[in-house]
Amino acid sequence: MLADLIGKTLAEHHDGLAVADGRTASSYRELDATAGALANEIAGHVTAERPRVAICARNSVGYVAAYIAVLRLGGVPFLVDAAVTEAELDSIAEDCSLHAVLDDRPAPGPELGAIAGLRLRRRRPNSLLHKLSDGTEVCRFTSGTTGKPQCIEFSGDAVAAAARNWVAGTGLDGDDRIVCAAGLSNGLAFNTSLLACLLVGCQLHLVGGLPTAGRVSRVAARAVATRLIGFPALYDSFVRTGRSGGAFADVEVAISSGARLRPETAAGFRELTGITISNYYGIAETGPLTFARTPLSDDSLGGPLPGVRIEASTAERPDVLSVRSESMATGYLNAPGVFDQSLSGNGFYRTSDQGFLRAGELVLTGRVSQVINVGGRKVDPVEVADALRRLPGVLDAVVLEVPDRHGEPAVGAVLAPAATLDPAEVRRLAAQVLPQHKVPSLVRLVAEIPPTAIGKPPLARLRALFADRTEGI
Amino acid sequence: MAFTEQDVREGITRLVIESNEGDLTPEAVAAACGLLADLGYTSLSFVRMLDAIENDFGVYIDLEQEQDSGRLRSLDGLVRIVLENLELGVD
Repeated sequence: MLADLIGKTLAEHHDGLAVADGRTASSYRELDATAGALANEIAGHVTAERPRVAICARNSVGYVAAYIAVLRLGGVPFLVDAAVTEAELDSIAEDCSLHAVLDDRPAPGPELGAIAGLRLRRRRPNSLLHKLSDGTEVCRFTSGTTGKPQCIEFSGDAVAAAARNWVAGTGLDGDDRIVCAAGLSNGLAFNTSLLACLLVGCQLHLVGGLPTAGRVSRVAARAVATRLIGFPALYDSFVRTGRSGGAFADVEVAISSGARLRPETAAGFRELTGITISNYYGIAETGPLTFARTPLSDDSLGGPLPGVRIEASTAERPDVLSVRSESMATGYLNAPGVFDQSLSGNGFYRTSDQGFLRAGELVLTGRVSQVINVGGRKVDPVEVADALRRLPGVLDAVVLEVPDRHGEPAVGAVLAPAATLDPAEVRRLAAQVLPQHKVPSLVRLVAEIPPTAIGKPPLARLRALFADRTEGI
Repeated sequence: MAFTEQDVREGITRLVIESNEGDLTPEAVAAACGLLADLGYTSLSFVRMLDAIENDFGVYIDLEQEQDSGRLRSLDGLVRIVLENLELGVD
């Protein structure tokens, strides 16, 4: 379904610029040709009828071509965060029975070929551990609290609906030039920039690697950008450095999501550029849910997009939100039945966010989940604690969200060591098995972690340990 | 303002510590040989640090050029980038 849809749009917009990444720029015709060459390369090595292929790479023209290539083969692209470690990638490959990995990392292991800046590595699943749903065309990942990344299955219809509703709800059109500074594996970029851009035939200018204000403003100036997509950290960077200038002269919409946008950042960016940031609400399992080109207030996330319904209470009594969209996931490939537990009888998904609707626009007030949001990347405390307990010298570990020295959510760990333990060594060892955003920034050592009466760690008491900036007992 | 190599090194060490989310000390930076990955540097820390370097030293670090050079990963590499930007010259 998606392969046909994308095939039509590639043919329709043939000579227009499709994607640029700072090193390469491809028209729709060239993108079509690169995707075809990649599809041939993959088909030459992977013979599965419905190949499961991970794309684990920084933003690039090759990434977009690879996505199209896997779909064209009748396969399923699994979009994996480029920051995962080799060990995590191995674990995902095992858990999801992947047939191949396309990546851009200088990692060990035999490769089968390299094209469009990506290497193809074959995996040999012993068997298909979990069966894909019949309609699944794309898989993405999120962190829950199950101790491992959850692989979300999406039908082609759901992915197409997310793109179409985003186009209709935000006014994206063929004259737009998007600068996207978020990784394409993340919902922020996936839903606002990938298929949505291809559908209308606009230009997608990708920023790979670190999205600093200096770098993004240069890309925006080159592209004469009309849309800017980034996590709140990007807008923090603009405000910190005071960079903007003529780079944003044509920008009509600046979009943020994935983490809390600080009011001072929204105000500072507006003062710098004259642009009000559109901070939207979306969930990995449901796709984008809200948008407002000019939100009524800085704490507003906008009103429901087409096809979206939100069940929320009032400002006086904010409660957990339930949502329903046309771009809902089918389930978790590696956790059968878990997604269904979050659905109500009428098909609404019970979120972990609390909030209310004010004049039709959504305002969030809190969360009921222990998942830690590090700048838009979700971290499962159970997964990190499990990894820490496996390190030499660690008897027990509890991982929790704590504020860092900048007031932002950070990963904190309380460890009970067997003997003397150097927190710096813990971080170094943890970084060998976890990506940097999951490695605890703050570590506290205690003689033992006492359980509460119901056998759980006393999180409030443990969190209080971080009020003192000294590591250790 | 003219910066010496010592100024640059001390300044970047301070910014490496201030930009991190955790409780870094100059001793910890030295013990890790200035390797930022070993100091628990996330992409958020990196962005914060690069902004601070650009602001404090008035230089622009071309990430597209430096992305694959490896120099962004260490204190020594950052010092060399800034010195080159400042046209002080390095050995």
